[in-house]
Amino acid sequence: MKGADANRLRLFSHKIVFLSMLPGLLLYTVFRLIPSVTTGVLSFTDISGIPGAAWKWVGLANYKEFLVLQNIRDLINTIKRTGIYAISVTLIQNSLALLAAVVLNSKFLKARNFSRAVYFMPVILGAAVVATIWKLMFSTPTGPVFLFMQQVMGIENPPAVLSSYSLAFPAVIGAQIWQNMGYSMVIFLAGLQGIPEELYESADLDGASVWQAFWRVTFPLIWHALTVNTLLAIIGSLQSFELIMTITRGSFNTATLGMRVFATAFGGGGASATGAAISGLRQGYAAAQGMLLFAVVLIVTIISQSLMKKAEVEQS
Amino acid sequence: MKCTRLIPLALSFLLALPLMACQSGGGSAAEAGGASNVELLTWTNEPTVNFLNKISADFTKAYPQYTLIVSNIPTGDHDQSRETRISAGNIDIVSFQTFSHPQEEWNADYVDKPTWQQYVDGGLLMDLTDQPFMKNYNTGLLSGNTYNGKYYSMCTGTVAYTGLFYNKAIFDELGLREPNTWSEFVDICETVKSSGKYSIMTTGAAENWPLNMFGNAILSANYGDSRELGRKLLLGEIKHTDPELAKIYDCIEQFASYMEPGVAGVNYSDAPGRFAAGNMAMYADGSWTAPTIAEANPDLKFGYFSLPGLEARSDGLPPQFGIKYDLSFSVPSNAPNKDGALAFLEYFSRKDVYTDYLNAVGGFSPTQPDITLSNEFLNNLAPGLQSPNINPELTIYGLKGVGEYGANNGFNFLLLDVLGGPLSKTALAEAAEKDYDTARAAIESLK
Repeated sequence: MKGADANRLRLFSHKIVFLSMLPGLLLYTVFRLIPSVTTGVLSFTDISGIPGAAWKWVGLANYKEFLVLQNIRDLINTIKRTGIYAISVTLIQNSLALLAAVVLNSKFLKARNFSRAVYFMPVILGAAVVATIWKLMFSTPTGPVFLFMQQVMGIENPPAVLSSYSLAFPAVIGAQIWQNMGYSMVIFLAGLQGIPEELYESADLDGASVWQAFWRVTFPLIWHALTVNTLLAIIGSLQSFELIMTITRGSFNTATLGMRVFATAFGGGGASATGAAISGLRQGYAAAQGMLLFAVVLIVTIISQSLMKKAEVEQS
Repeated sequence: MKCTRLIPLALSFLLALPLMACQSGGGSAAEAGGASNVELLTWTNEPTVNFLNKISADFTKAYPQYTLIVSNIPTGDHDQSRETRISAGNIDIVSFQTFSHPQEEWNADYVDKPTWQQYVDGGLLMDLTDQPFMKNYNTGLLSGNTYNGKYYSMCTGTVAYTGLFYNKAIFDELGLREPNTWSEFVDICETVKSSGKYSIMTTGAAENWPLNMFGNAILSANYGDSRELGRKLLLGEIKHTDPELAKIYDCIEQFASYMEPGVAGVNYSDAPGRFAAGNMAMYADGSWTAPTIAEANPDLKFGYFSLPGLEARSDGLPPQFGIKYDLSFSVPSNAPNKDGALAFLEYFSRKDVYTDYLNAVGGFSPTQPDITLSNEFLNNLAPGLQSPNINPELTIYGLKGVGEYGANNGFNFLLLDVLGGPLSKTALAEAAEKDYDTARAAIESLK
């Protein structure tokens, strides 16, 4: 091939690469980058979210209000709760998803594809449907959980789980795990399917037990999947508000930071993060809270990622 | 080859169909001479929604160019949906309750503007004051629902909400009658309890507000006009720990203790059915639920009495209901079919239609003068509506930035241990006062 032709081909290749990336870049810019930057700017204004309503630049007033005006005890409780939510979801969801993936990857299992579809189904149901299922299951005094506690476990006055200050939060965590476990499972399955069968055969010849084969062969080779799932679970649970909003509306000690941002921005029939009065439609203030939440998510993600990398290096 | 070209073409056409449909709603069809939709958004109240759907055809007969579409959203999600629809500018008639808790000069530091005030100040709701159909209404009665002397909504009724439904058969069997004082009410609860045959009372506590509504009912029964109480609480001139408010906390704790076990998990939509089943002596809810109960069990004989105060009234009247304005229709300024919306409000305000509405809905008292109702339940409320109280829910403000113990306008009764919460009544009163003090101090520090 002549030099000029080679150059033309290289240029053409670059154009193709750029054009292929363009739709993704455009979507990212329009739906992610611009809204994020705009949110940052709006956090310094008193915009309400009402079309046509006047708004002005208020500097750091929203941040000051978040850190000074609201009840600090409630804020600390909300932060603690958000941490518990993120840690519980990340640990339990990934453990269950890994277990399910290992079982569903077994070639001896019948109806493998059907079982995978069943585990994955909650992912596609969406928050509203999951919340409805959860509310029906735990409803008092006719829901199956209430009846089970009363008639099988013999509890005379079973607690109303979703209205209990001690049980509602674990129930919401359960809903989040149930909804997202299928997604993590699929990522683990992809990792498991990439492991060559020969490695297990070699381990078997070396006399490795099932547990040793999992720990020495499987686990290191799905580390990347574990990293991805861990980060996705942490980020997802730190930002989560849909399930909390639809199941308890933030009452009964279930409000997290993400829920608080949503309640401030959009209100919603008395929904509030702590049960305290938030009237909603204060999108400038909500944007400031959103930016602080973003900072928290960013810091936690960076720390988690570096810890995962360090562990990966140590393993290898 | 032809097929491979036709398939993408057909797919493109199919994908474009919804977009084409989106562009043909609202006024554009009217311009083309066809019927156009008037979409009304309200919260789910079965009798109201059924009535609105029922009159849709008659409305079209009166205004052939318009078709009424009724969208209803569960109460808990309604406000969120309304805000979204107004922001999107794709709704013709929206529903509000009372236009209460305005931010004013004296309280501007302490409260945020409520949503309705933000809408009005932002020019998002039409001023209905000069619309001819507003002359059909009792403007004196509705004066408490105005803002700057103007009407931004058309209120379709007031409700008595501080009462308890009671099962007449159970009351007759146990020799009980409607109470005039708090101690008589407690006696009723104790009698039902000791009979061992019936549950005392229930409510839809899973949605929080029904129980808080009865906290307000107790305030209403004991304070009457609670505007001064609301002002003093906000400014710190009365404390939650003061003896006069401690009595209220006592009543609330006692009231909650008579609720059926697990009441905190009873969904609002399930509660009427639980009462209608016939084994529950009383049911705490607003008068608007009467038709739902009647529908759930047409054979059930039930009455409705106002929760009494600690003392009998000095004027000799029976305990008076607290009332509030209820379903009110507003027209967003950005409604796609404003003319259609106003046409519907005019049609709805006609005396015959409005009377049918009140008879069908069953729980609302009229806001138009000279309306004769056929509804026996509503007529029986008359003795308790001779000198009704202003609802404390409308007069007591929520303090900006207050913590959870002082939430719900200062009375977060769901935190009481008798309802499964973490605090005793004394601890809750102290915690509420502390949260109020903290919030006031924070507000001062930001000035």
